[in-house]
Order: sequence, then C-alpha cells, then structure tokens
Amino acid sequence: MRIGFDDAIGVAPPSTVDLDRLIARRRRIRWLQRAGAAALAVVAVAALGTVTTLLRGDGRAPTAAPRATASAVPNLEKETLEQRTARFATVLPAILAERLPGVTLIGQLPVTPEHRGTGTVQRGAAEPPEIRYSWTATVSAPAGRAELMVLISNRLLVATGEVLDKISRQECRTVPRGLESCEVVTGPNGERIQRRVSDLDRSGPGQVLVGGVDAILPDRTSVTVTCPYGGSPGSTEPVLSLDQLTAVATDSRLAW
Amino acid sequence: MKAQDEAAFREYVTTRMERLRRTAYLLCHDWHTADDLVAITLDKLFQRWRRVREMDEPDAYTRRVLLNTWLDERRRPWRREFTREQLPDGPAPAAPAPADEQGLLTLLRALPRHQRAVLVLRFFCDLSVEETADTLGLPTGTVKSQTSRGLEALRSVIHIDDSGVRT
Repeated sequence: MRIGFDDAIGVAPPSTVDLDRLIARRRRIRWLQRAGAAALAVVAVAALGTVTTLLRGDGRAPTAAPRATASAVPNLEKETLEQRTARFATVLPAILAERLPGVTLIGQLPVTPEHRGTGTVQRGAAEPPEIRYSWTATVSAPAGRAELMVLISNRLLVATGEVLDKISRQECRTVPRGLESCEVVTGPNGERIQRRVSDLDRSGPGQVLVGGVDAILPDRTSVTVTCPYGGSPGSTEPVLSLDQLTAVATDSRLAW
Repeated sequence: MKAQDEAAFREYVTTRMERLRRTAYLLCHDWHTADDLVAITLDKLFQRWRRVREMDEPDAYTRRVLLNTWLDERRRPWRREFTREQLPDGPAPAAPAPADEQGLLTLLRALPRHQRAVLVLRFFCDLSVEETADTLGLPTGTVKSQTSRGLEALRSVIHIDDSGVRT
C-alpha cells in the first residue's frame, strides 16, 4: 500500500472546473483573432487597391457611378480634413440613434494609425489624396453585440481609369472570396448599393459570417458598413440586418 | 480546432479530471485553488492540444504544466498566505479523514514546495525517480535526496519504508 494520499484526501467536493465554459472562451478568443486577421487582410487589400488606383489612373471617366448633379459636385476644399472627420464623428452616433431604433451604441473603438476623434484617417500620398475615414463601434441589438465598422472614402472622387470604372459598377464578383450572397440595387436617391454576406473563414470548421453594404452616394462618396453575425463562430443570426446596414450607409449626412 | 480534436480533448480531460484535481489538491491543500490550477492547466492544454495529442506521453506533459502552473501561481503576490479574523466562504467541505491522515496532509503541507512536489509525483502519481526528475527539471540525485527527506518527515505520522510503502 502506498503512502495513502488518496485516503488522506478523502472524498473530493464537486468540481468547479467548467470544461464547456473553458472551451467556449478559448473558441471565442480564436474566432476573434481570425476575424481580426481577416479584417486586417481586407484593409490591406483595399489599401493596395488604393495605391494601384492612384498610380495607374489614366483619366477615363466612370461609366456606372451615379451621375453627380450640379449641386452635388464634390468640393474637396469645402472643409478641412479635421472639420470633415469631426463632422463624421458627430453624425455617425446620431445616424445610429435615428436609423436603428432598438440598437444601442455601447462604445467606440478608435484604432491606429492616426486617431482623429472617434475614428481614424488614412490619407494617400498622391494628389488629390484618397482619404478613408473609418469608425468602429460596439453596438448592442436584440440579437446580440457586435462591432460595427463604417468606412467613408472619397476614392470615387479622386480615382480615375479602369479601377474607377470597376469600383463604380459595384459588381458582386469584385468582392473577396467567401461570398455567401450578394446583390446590387439602386437606392431611392440614385445610390448604387451592394448588399452582401461573406464568410471570412470559409476554410475553417465554422462560419464567420459578416454582413456588408457598399454604397455610392449621389455625390460619389463611397460608404462601406460591415457588421459580423452573432458574436460567436457559426452564428447564422445577424446582429444588424442588411436593411439596417443599408440605412446607415445611405444616409446623406455621410456625403463627403 | 476541429470537432474531432475537441471531442478527443473532452474525453482526455474527463477521464483524468479527478486525478488532476487530487494532484493539485495535494500540492496546494485548497480545493478552490486546486480547481483554479486545473482550469489554468486545461486552458493551456487546450491551446496546444493538437501537439499534445500526438505526444507519446501526454500525461507527462499535462503533469508538467500543472506543476509549473502551481509553482508560477505560488510566486504571485496574491497567492501569498495571510491571516484573517474570519475565514472566507469556501467550497463544500470534503468528508473528514481520520486523524493520522489529516496529520499526513498537514505534514505534507509543511514541506518545502519542491520536496512536496517530489513526494506527490513519486507516491501519488507513481512516477519513477527519472520521470519525476524530468517533470520537475531537477537532477535525479536531487529527487532522491528530496524523497528521502520528505519520507523522513512523514514517518512521524505514518510508518512507511524507503519505497513509500506503508507498513
């Protein structure tokens, strides 16, 4: 008989180790890491596209972008960059409050590289520069919590050539792999809107579904609004519907 | 992680949970802390499960993680023991053990931590001197001397021979 540690311990109390919770927590962390990496990849591809556009522009006019009216002709000088980003930072919470009843803005997540208020600004090197303003916020809706991302860009106002032609058409085949559904519609004010659902982790065991809307406003401002499904891997319930994302993306207050 | 990996992990843990908890308890003498140690160990194990699964001796790896977790936790300031007037709420008490068995645990608790770990690995986990040395990262000579000193201390409560067999 060995020393008898088992006898000394006696009967153990019930375990408080929750294996399900432990696995769920680790799975969630892994999912967030994957989603983050996928989002970074999308941003990197978009940035590459921007550089290509700026470098290869050949002056051809866009063929499918909404026709700008005289009153909507962009005036890049009407506001400074600081004024414009401050305006976006102010109107975005207001748009959420007005257009998405039942949805609560919990917090905003400013990210690098250049923090301006509640969003970030990326500025291309060419003249006139392509500028992207991105704004991220955590929202709570009846279906759960999620990170809402809004990207406002003047890329159609400064791009030229084939790339401009291509992005103006908003064709579904131009979006990244993992497309689950996609449609291009025209809004009531002439907005060209692509509504899509993508699986960011098609190669993985579960789905990481993200709803996204790309809108080209009448003044040719480009607005992208995305929101992941459910907040957990494999969720098939959107936190915000495509209609809700569209309502945000087509708000005229986001015009450049 | 694939579903089959996760299922294998669950099966592995389920069959070893009780042993892990009791090993952790012998090291720390507190069921709350023991469960914390096991949870942290399983979390680390889950992150490396694909590699661990392919090991020849996954149990040895698991034990090593548990031991290191315990030693790491002991170094943290919030784990240092202090006295208080009233005891905090604890888990449901285990069934009381006989007086000499309680004395055994009390003595074990009083031993230096590496000596305690050596005794637990050798006489609760049934590891050889070499396996114990490998798990703790100590020379075999140190394991032998720690075993000898530890057994000497326990002999004041129970009668055991040099191989840890109770007489």
